[in-house]
Amino acid sequence: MVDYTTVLLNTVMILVVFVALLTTVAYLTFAERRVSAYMQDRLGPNRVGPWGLLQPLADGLKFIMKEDITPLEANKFLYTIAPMIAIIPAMLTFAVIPFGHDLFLRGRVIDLRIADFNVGILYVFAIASMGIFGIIVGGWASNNKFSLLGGLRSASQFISYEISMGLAIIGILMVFGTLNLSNIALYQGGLWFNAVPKWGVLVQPLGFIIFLVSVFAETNRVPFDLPEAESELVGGYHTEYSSMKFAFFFMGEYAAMITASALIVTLYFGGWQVPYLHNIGFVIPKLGIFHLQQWLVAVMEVLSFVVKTGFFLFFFLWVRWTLPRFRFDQLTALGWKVLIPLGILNIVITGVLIMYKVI
Amino acid sequence: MISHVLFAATAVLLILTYIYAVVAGSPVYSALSMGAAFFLTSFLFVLLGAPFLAAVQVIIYVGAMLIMFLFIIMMFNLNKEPAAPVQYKASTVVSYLLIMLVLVVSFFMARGVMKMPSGFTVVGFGSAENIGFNLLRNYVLPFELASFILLVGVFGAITFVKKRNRV
Repeated sequence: MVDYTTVLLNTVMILVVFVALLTTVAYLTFAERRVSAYMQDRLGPNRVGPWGLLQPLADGLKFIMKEDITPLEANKFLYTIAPMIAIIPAMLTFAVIPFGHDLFLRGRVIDLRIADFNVGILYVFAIASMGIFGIIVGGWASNNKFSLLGGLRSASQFISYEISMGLAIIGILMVFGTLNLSNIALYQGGLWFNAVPKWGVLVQPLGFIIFLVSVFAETNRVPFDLPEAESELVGGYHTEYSSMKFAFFFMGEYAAMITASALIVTLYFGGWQVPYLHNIGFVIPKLGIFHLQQWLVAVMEVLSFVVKTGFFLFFFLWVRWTLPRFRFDQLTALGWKVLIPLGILNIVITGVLIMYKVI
Repeated sequence: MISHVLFAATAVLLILTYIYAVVAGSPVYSALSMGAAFFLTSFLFVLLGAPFLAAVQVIIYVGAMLIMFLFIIMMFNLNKEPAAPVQYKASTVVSYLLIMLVLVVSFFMARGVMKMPSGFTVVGFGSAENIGFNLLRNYVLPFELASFILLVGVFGAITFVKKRNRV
């Protein structure tokens, strides 16, 4: 017998998350322009609506109205399909990210995540690696030297940094002993020495730094945005793209950024955890229990996730507008000669610490 | 029942994508078609209740190997060479006949699979825990030996690429 209420609840949750993701993508482009303006002592877009808040709508409308150009020498089929390959995986990866614990509503427990998947973290890696094909294929199909170089850079950069990223998370998997993102978030609510929340960043500081650097490279953001380095490659892989096809690449990049931030938060900053907050309220060792309503706890947990993710999104923008770009040989050297050995060292250290029951 | 229909659809698509990977005129199309085939293979693992293998299949084959293939194809710009006109030599005919034979045999084998009950996997089959236990307890020696073979491969690659000072 199909439980229609559950189906309905899941559908509503998927819709809410999808709309929230798209809205965040739209406002992230706006935030990028406002933050960069603030850092460069300018005002940024402030004409459309109050404080320029309707700017993303105007941008979207502009993208739809623009002429959609396909170069004569381009491979039509691959040129059209590439933006789709870029955006779909970026939207899919968010499905396994837990954005809250449980919500008790009318005698029913609602898990605040779309899919509770046993190998959640591997799913994120697998789907995210599909997204890179959009960039490579788009760069090749444009039949333009700059685009091709952008695509090639993207391919080699992605392969190099995927290894260090994988090595970094092995530490986290060793500490928490699970591949399930919901459980990783849940276990970070435990206390270390009965006092400090056992967040990933505290038990895996080195792993966190490796992961953070790798994520910047994987999402093609400054200082590793070589696939679209405008001073060398015009626009990189999307040089020939215009109108909504370009917008799809753009949205894919920002959606990947949101998923990356959410993943950093889930793996290293406790996900939806608020320190000492449990389903019954705040439980602080040696001080006692402060009771709270369950719905209030759930709201606080979701808010905690949103605030932490928001901080890392700001961090992405912050880095972009304050750091210069790497050279390509520096990028490859950093990946292969620094991050990968550090990742292996991190695994060894974690193993020793687990053996002596420190973490 | 649904799993049977899904399996049949996946299997047909899988065979078609692999055939296209062989006969496609452009190397880029071949590589992309192979990528689709790898992805469909991982879907077969999902149907068998082995999500860990499915994820690893996509990460290794699609996420690393295929990107490498595409990188090399684009680097050497193989697509610019005019494709050789298809000549139906004896070998071509024989290979097409062999493909037909494989298809017919797999059809009869698939009929046997269809008769099996759908839930023929045991609980925990293909889970990360199970694979880990098997690899690192029951089959630890072959597992480590395989890693040595890979290491030899790495040494071989380095030796090939290294500039020789004296010959």
